[in-house]
Amino acid sequence: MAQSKSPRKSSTSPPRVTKRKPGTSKRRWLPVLAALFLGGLVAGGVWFAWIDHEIRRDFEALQWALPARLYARPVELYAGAHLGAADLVDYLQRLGYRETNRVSGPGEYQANGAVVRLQTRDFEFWDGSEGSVFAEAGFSGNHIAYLSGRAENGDLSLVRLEPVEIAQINPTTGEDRLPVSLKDVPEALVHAVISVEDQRFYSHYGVDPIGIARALWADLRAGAFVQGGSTLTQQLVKNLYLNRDRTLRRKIEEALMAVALDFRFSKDEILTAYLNEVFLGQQGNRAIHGFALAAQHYFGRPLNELTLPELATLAGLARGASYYNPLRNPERATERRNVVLTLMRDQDYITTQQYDHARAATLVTSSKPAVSGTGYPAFMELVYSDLERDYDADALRTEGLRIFTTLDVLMQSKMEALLDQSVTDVDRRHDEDADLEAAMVITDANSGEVRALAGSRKRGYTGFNRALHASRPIGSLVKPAVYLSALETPDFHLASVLADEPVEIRMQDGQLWQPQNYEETTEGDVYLYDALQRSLNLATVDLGMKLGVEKVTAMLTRLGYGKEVLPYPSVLLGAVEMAPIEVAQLYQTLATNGFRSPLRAVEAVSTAQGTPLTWYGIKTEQVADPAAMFLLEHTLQGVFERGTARTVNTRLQARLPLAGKTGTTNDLRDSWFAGYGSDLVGVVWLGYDDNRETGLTGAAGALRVWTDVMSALDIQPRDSTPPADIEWDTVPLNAVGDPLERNCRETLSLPFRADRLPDAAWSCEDDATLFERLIDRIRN
Amino acid sequence: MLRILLLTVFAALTGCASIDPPPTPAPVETLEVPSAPAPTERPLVRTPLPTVIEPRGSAPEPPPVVTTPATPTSTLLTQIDAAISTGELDRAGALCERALRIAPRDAQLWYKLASIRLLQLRYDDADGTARRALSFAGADAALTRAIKALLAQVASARDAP
Repeated sequence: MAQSKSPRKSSTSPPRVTKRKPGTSKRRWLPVLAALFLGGLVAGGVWFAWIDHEIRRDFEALQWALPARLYARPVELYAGAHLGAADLVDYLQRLGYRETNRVSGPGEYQANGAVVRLQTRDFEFWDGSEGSVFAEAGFSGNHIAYLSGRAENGDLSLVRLEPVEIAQINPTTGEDRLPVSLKDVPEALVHAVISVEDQRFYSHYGVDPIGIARALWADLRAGAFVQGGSTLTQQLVKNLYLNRDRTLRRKIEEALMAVALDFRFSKDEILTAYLNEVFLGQQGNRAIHGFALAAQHYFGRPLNELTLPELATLAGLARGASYYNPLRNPERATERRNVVLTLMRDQDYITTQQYDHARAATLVTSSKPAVSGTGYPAFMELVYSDLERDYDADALRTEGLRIFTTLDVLMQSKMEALLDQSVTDVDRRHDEDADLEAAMVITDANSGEVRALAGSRKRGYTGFNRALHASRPIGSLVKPAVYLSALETPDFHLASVLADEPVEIRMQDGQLWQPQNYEETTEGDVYLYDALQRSLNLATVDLGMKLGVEKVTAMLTRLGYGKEVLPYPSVLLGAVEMAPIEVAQLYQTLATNGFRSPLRAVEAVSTAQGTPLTWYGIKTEQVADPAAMFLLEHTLQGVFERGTARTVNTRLQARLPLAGKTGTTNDLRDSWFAGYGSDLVGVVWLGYDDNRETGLTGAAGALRVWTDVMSALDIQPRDSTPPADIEWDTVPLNAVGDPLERNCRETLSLPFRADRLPDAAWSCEDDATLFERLIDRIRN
Repeated sequence: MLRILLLTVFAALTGCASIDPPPTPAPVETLEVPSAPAPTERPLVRTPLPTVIEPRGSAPEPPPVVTTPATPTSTLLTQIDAAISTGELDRAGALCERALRIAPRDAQLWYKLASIRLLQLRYDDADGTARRALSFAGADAALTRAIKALLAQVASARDAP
């Protein structure tokens, strides 16, 4: 029999039942649980400490990558300004000004026929700030007749409106925002956001369990998603630091980060970051962040000008910017707005009366052209080329620079509106497989600022920029350089007789060059001025060969052409390739009477805060003799009166005198016109991208387009004063080679340099002259 | 003798010949600033004329000073001078250019800009803008002298070691 190890029990005593003490099994697990709990607590504490550190570091250093903002040239109001009432209204609408019956605040205007009243907005320019001011402008035709303001503004002689924003250079993230401080945010927006997103924002600690429960209850009652449970702090953390994963770990992390953020930073700081960070829409590849930019995007006005219903509409976007987009889904946006208004009323942020009034308002979104990164692409390319000399791409994309350009938005719009149709009207070939293309450059005649630019006949075209890159032979556009070179020498004046006769020139490669006039005729003896006005090729070659081609190529450089030109005789007839912008530079120098000012598209650059960084001022250098310039301009004015541009003489009658030159290349492949008044210079090129014949001379094509556009822009007549050393003299109307054959019955008066009057033998000035001629004859 | 006779005959014939009267030279175009038409509504601000009261028996008061309404360029000139006086030469130049956009043929403004450039030691720009001023100075002898003096200063500064 086996022996048991336990003590023997009497077989006669009842079996003893062993009872356990209560809780013994739980006590065994307690240490384990406690250890786990402590471990979890420690781990959680470490995790929280790490989050706290990261949050503190990152939030303090929070700096959004801000896009550079580009502005057009601002409109200035003053008595005598060249601006019509309709143009001013157009400009105000581009700025998002609201039309009212009575102007009561910034961003409002009232237009009453020839009188416009407005209140401007504050704006920080690169050269100082402009405060908001009330102004009344009275118009007479295309000019401001008077300007007046309120008594407290004193004498009002000049008002500068804020500039239109035309483009941004966005960060690689595609995010765009207009950062604002909390003090600049309307209180109603703060109330709207808090009432719909986080009612207990100011009392919770980053996470709101009560809010979560309330949201759930509200959603259940509504049977739809009407409230979220995340606090503003949690939403901010999610947007700034976390991905969009819907995992438990991520939610815990979000909650911890929200608590840490709330612990370290004030409610106002958190709210400010939220109001600037929240995603509120998309425009192409541009993400709209923050309420200030959303105000501009949806309503075309600054945040501080929005009404209560508009602010409520924005507040409702945070939960679904695309779903509640007021531009695309106005009914949904209105419903959401009303939800926000209801919550605001229920939480006593607005009265019932305010609620009723706001709810009854019709949703009206912005109709002004959307600003995008690709606005005015042809002009923007010129801007970038100016900027990249001084700023790297990263600075342009991230530092919120403010770039003030020279673009005149009204001028650009008018040009774009006319260009395509005007080109259609002159197109003779109407090729189905290719479009006749165009480029146009318009500059300020006095400063060299580029006012408008078109790289194609099509508005907003983003492809090949012909204005900057289509290098084509310029043909007769080169002739002013030839004739100016001649007029600067003592050997030539406007009545110098040139031989418009056939000529053969042996080139360096041995080939024979035999230029011809356009109509393959010859004119014989012609005056210098006449040869230029009628663009006679043979006379020009005669002049250029006497002068020396090197003088002409040197003149091209002086006028502003930046590339080397080899001195081949064919240069005299324009066998040199230039893009329209380069031609504009040459004629800019002519328009300023021989002062070369490099063309520019950027005026100044400042920081986001308004501190000026770079200012691209006027540069001007005298490169041509003033008297010779006057003589040249007199001749170029004649191009419109009796020369190759006379076909538009009647149409431009009220605007004359203007100065200009037609240009046509071999086989009519390129049609050019360059012309200027006292205020503007315009260059037009027409041609095909594959260089096929257009069938158009400069006069039949580009001149007509130039006339259409520059007439609409109300180009002003030239008003050059002759230099002191200019005198007028009379010569026979028709040029002859022999002075004895001259006929003074018909004469014309021409300007001459006082020290280079025509020889007495040629002049028809007076009796004495004739008598002297006879004396000479007898003596000889 | 024969020669003298022939000359006399020819002179007499010349006197009888129909010769066109000397044409009047082509008119020199003068700048005309269009006067603004009368406003259709009263402006909100008028510049008041001061009232002059003559005390009995005293010498007559000098004629009242009539304040000339500011023009856009005079408004900007005030700001330009203020900027120069505080050493903000870049800003003064920017304001000058703003004024030139309004009045591009104003020789005084070009001269002012040249002066600013000279203060900034930007001699090339000072030279160019001064010559531009000269091209618009016309018959203003005093201004012409001042511009030429500035050009001489620029030349001298350039030549200085």
